[in-house]
Amino acid sequence: MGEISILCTDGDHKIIWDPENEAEVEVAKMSFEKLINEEKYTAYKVDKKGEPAKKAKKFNPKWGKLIMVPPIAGG
Amino acid sequence: MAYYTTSNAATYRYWVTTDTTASTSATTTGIDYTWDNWNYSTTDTVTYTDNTVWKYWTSDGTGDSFYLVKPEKTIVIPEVRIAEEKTVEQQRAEKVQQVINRSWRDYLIEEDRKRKEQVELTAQDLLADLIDEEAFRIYKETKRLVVHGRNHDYVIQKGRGVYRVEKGRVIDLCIHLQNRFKYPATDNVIGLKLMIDASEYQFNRTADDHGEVLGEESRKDIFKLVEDSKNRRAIG
Repeated sequence: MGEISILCTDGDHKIIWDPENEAEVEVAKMSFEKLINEEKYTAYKVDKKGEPAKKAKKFNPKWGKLIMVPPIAGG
Repeated sequence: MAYYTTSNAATYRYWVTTDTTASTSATTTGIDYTWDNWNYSTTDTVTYTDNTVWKYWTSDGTGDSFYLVKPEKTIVIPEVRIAEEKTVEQQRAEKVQQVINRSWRDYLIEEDRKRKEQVELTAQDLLADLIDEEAFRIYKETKRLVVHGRNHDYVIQKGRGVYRVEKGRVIDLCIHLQNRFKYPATDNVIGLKLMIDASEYQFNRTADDHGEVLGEESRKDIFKLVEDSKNRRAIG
């Protein structure tokens, strides 16, 4: 199962998909792309606990867990 | 001499002067002019000429009166000019309403506090998935999370800024989620940790560098926090 955690004002919102389920994958992919392209979120792929995250630029249904972070600013 | 006309025939019942009495218009050469039984409406207006204007509003329970004094061109009677005394029942109802308003406001504040607390716990659950148990325990205790980047170490402070720990120096950085106050404080910590993990260079370019601001003791605390974390990693 894949999971996207989207940081939002409610803590985080989760989208879960089964890589074998095309409809679920499509929903996850659309959400991923909308957040990146329209809301300027950044996606991070997180693997094992304690391991550094990696930036994810394109959606891959085989990935386990993603965290979507809203824009970050200095100052 | 003065005269008046009104926009509403029902407004004035009596124009009382030494010279004449009329309902909707009058001309007088008298000095003291008074309306009795004023049927008030905020939309009624009065146009007049010469030295005529009302200064005093009185209400004696039997009828309201305006007294003529100095002139202006047009008067629109404002609603606030009716200063009715509140009855005991009205005063009591007003106090009850104030109590209800206070209770409702307190209820909303409490509900908002509970919601924010719940949202913060949700964010902490997510952070707990990303870091080891000891680091999470320290975060809850100190509100600080140590992140080891490729080039430097960082201490992210919940609800505050970030320290970049260099060799012998602690640099104060200002960087956060845009609109950070809309998000639970721990979401900000998560976002910064992930950015350091994946794009440390970009993180440092984005942050505002405030230089070295800590005193000696505080610097030592930060160095110790980072050192302890490194030791735990080495053992674990």
